[in-house]
Amino acid sequence: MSPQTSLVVQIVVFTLGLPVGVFAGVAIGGLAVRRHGLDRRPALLGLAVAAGLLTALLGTGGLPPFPPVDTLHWIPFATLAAALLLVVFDLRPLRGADALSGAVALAVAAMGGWLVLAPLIAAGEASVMWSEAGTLLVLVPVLAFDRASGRSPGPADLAALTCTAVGASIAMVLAHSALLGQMLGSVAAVLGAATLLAWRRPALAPGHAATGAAYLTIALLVQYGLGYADLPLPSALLVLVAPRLAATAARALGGFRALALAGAVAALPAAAAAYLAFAKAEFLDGPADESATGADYESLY
Amino acid sequence: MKRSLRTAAGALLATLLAFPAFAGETLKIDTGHTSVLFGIKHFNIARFWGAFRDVSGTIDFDPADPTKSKVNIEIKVDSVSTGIEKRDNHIKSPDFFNAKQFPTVTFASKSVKKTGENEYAVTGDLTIRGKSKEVTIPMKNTGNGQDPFGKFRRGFEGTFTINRTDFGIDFMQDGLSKEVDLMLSLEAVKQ
Repeated sequence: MSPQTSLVVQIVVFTLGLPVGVFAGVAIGGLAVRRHGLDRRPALLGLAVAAGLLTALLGTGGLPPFPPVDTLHWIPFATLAAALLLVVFDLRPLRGADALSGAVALAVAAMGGWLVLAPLIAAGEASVMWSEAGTLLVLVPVLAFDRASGRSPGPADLAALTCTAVGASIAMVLAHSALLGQMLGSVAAVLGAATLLAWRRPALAPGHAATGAAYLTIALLVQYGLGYADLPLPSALLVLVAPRLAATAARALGGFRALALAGAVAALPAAAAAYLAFAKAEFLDGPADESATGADYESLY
Repeated sequence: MKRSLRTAAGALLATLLAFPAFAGETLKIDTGHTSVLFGIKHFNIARFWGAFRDVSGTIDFDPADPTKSKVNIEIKVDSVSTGIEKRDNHIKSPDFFNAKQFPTVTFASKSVKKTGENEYAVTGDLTIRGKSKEVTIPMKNTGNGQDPFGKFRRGFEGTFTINRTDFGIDFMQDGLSKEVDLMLSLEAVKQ
């Protein structure tokens, strides 16, 4: 197999096929076990989404050592922790579950953000504090307030997260990290599959564990890109608020209209985030350094 | 008071006797006249070369007993240059060196052996992206002498190959080879 073919196969199989396959496998396998009643389906589908997200991270970034050397490798642990802790609240209605799940999300997001950005926090970089605050401001209301109002995640929430992940993926590639772009693309593939399933079969919509873990994964990847790649702070903040804006906009609608509106509303800030990353990378100013060497961007690698 | 002073003086004397002063030359790497080049194969077709511009460190060199020599090198990842700025930015990104999280590449020798006339095998820990691996660099003393300003200088050169995946640089293995050739040409000034 030539290196070029191998590259395409790697992207199709490991970035797209494997994570979606794992999501579908866990979902189908779990649903095939008849012991699960209707009330347990959201939890089961939530775990299936989490399994897909973990495969997306590991399939692209490799198995992380413990403790991680590169702080990127804390993200799968944060995704796993968020999914396992939040699925408890999807499994059985506990007293005060809304506040509790909000507190759990707060703790996991704060800990995850701190672990991922620790070297920069120690150096006192202000932008990372803004991004961490943005994550907490979005994640906690999604879990605490939505649950308190009795609202369950639906295909519109998943569509918003999918569009956000796609926008973040493009922004990350433009911010000089194809690896993070590939990871977010892989996350988007899993969320896209979950959106499709929840849209066609509303009874198979995943619970809060899925949306919580998915949002946390996207947010931590974005924060990592802000800290260590060249993602600009406005891009990061736009990506972080996109899912919440979309969910709010689509709340009054139902069916495909809600899904389409949520996707479109999330896509706008995500696209703006990608544009800002594009502008920062000076693609718009013309290839001054390339004119000197005669190289175009495609020939760099 | 007197007793504690005597104890401290005794401890100092014991330390000095245990670690006699280094009898060789202590040299400081001259960043402006030092090159660290890396070569990597593209699509298994041809090797292209890049350089790190900011290299510093010290060499404790004992020509009479090279086993007592020591080499410490620090390379600023941010100084990478391949001639194309956009590619340099990508090399500094988390896809490769992750310069913001791991700003330096370091080499700290653990042993030096003489292998021939002016030739040495320098074994030590090479640390890239926070991961350390023992490597042996065959080094040659390429020249020495006084510069016009009266300072004594020595030159050393060495070429070796590493597997970048040993240091967690796994990205784009289909497009860029795992094996990376490194060439060091160090000029150092006696202190």
